[in-house]
Amino acid sequence: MTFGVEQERDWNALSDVEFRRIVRAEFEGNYPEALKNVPYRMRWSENGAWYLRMARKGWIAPNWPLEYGGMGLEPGKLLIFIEEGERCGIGRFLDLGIHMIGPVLIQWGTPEQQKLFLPEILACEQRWCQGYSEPSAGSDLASLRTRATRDGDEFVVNGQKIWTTLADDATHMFALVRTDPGAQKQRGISFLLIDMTTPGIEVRPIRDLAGHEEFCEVFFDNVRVPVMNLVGELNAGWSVTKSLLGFERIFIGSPKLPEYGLVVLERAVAAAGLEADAAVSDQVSQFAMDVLHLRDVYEKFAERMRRREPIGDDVSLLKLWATETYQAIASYALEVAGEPGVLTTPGEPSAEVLSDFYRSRGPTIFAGTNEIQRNILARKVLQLPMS
Amino acid sequence: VTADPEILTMLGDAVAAFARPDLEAARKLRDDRQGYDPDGFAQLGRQGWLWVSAPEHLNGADLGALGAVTVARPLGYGLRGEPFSQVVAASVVFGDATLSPRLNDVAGGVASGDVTPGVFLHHDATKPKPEAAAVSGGGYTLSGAAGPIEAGRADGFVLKAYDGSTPVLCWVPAYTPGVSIDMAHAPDGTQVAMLRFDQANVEADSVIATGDAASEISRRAFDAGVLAQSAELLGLMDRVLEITLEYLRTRKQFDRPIGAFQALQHRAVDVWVRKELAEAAVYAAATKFDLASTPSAQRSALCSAAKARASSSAMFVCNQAIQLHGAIGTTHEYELSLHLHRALRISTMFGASFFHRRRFSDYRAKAAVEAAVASADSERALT
Repeated sequence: MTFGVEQERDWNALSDVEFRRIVRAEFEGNYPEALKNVPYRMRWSENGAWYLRMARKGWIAPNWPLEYGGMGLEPGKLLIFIEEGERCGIGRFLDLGIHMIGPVLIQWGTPEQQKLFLPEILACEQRWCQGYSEPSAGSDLASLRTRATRDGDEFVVNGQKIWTTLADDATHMFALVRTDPGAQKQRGISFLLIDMTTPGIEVRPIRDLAGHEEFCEVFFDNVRVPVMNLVGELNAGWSVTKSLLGFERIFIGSPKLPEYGLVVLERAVAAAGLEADAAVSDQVSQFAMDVLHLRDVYEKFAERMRRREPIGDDVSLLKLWATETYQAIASYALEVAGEPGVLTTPGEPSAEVLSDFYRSRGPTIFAGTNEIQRNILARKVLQLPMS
Repeated sequence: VTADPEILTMLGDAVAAFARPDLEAARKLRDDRQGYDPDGFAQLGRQGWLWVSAPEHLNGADLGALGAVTVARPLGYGLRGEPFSQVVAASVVFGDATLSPRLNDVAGGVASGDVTPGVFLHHDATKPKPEAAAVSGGGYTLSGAAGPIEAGRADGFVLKAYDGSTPVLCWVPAYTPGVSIDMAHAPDGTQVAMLRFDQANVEADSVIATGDAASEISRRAFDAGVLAQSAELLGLMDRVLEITLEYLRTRKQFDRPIGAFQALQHRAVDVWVRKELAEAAVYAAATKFDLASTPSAQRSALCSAAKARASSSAMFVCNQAIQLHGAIGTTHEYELSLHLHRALRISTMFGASFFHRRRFSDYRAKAAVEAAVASADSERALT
């Protein structure tokens, strides 16, 4: 079968400059001004129209191969596509279908699964959330306890997921579930696709520090899932998950957030009339340098990607430096802004230093806490002994 | 200049083989306040490594800033005290200027390692500066002071003096009448010169450049020297990290290697992160240094950022290494002390972190203005 919309041209045949020009013109010319650099994760009701436009244009899945309806971009072109999106301040939607489950199904899915899910993902009719973390399985993800028990042609799922981003905006979830309670940790886990409208699922939003409801708890009470929704072999879900971690890891360390944080800080310095203050200038210079060198490190890994070399375990460096730099900058902006920085005038959006501060707290925790990243680096890169 | 990666790899390997750490020799040079072995310096000259970034018209290898970085890193790893970064700066000065026959001879001597230059290209605004009064015939008379200048063994100095506010870049032989030299000792055993000038003459054929040309040449040379120092610090960090990780893997307490403790693992990762940042900063600056498309303000900003990063990273790496080693790390005898003493020297030479952070910031602001003008052009190219 054929998937998606046919591409208007062979993007990889274009020069990088020409490709960038086309992407920039499309984004700058059409992305709504009001949705640029929104400091929270938007819902489908807010930015869905933009992504439907992308879907119709055949630009929804830049990372998928042509034969599956993607743009089939080589790594260098894909980076340009992403950079131009960041440059324009385009906000993400619940795009895990594009970034995670699509590539998983292309690699591991049966033809039936591909036929059933890929076209709907490409059309944005399905929006996928990720059911990994549980109340007792955070950093130690492999200790997860949500059970899936086989009953005829179905699995019966019971348990709870948490920190599920925008679960209430999702139509589907890909989840890790325990299918063999007797096996050791990673060995008894399977990868399951779940329709969120199935009876027995309850979603409760969690309000975060900033007052936004981006995370949810998801409860499963005898939720019946067709056996054909199992991806990969039974009890081999851990391998399926790990295959996702290669390409995507560089983006966690994108310099975009700290670069934006620096802009917010420099505006806060100006607003406080501290441009000429020597102590503030020295600190701002340090942060500017921290961001500059983050960009240099990022480029090193981007170059590996362009050369199609393995990304390497040392990529965790990017996440550490990007998220901790962002946090330091956002915290300092709050200090510089002083009292006005934490005040919100009724009817106006919250002060940007405050929202940037809130936004900087999460990234050191999600996608593998920075402490876990340090453990990985210590063992795999520095080759220090196991404790 | 576009240096071939393979040539650079071979060059780096050759320097690394030459500059393997010899702890006993390094200790002796430090403790006897010799700093470095003059024979070693001469060997660097014979190999052509001193002239790695010099242009072809001076018979240089013309490998640009990346070439200098490639030589400097293993020198730093091998605890070599030779004034390599001074020579790199001097090679840019001589390469960028139009040289008199006399200066051409000086340049040849520096290339071969027979003439050791001290370089003074950037004075601290709070200190008295060297003054140059024009005399008839195109020469100058120097007064005032300059320093600190690396290289106690300097045969002469590449000096940026000031005729009022006009910079005068000149060569001043060390034995010039009216030049007196006071020496200060650095922790790594190198000698640092403080110059005083009392009616010292600079003849016309020792004047390298004046005015805007002197400013531009000395700034580019300073950037090149600073970047070479950053690469030396990078090599130093490579070695300190290596011995520290080895110590963590082998030293046992509570019946296990101390590197198995998470607190120390995380500390070690932070040390590695600082080294990686310095590495990315140095190579990014070196790659852009010789590109025609890099505006000079951006070049200076990148080089100062690299120096500020390498300096603070090197001090962080050394300090953490001492802590991770425990008491042995605080001794004069253990290898770490050699690296710390060298780091103290290089990280402050040509300006410490604080100075370079400010210089980075100044040039970043200038580069932003230049970029605003240039971006109009690139937008046109894109659309």
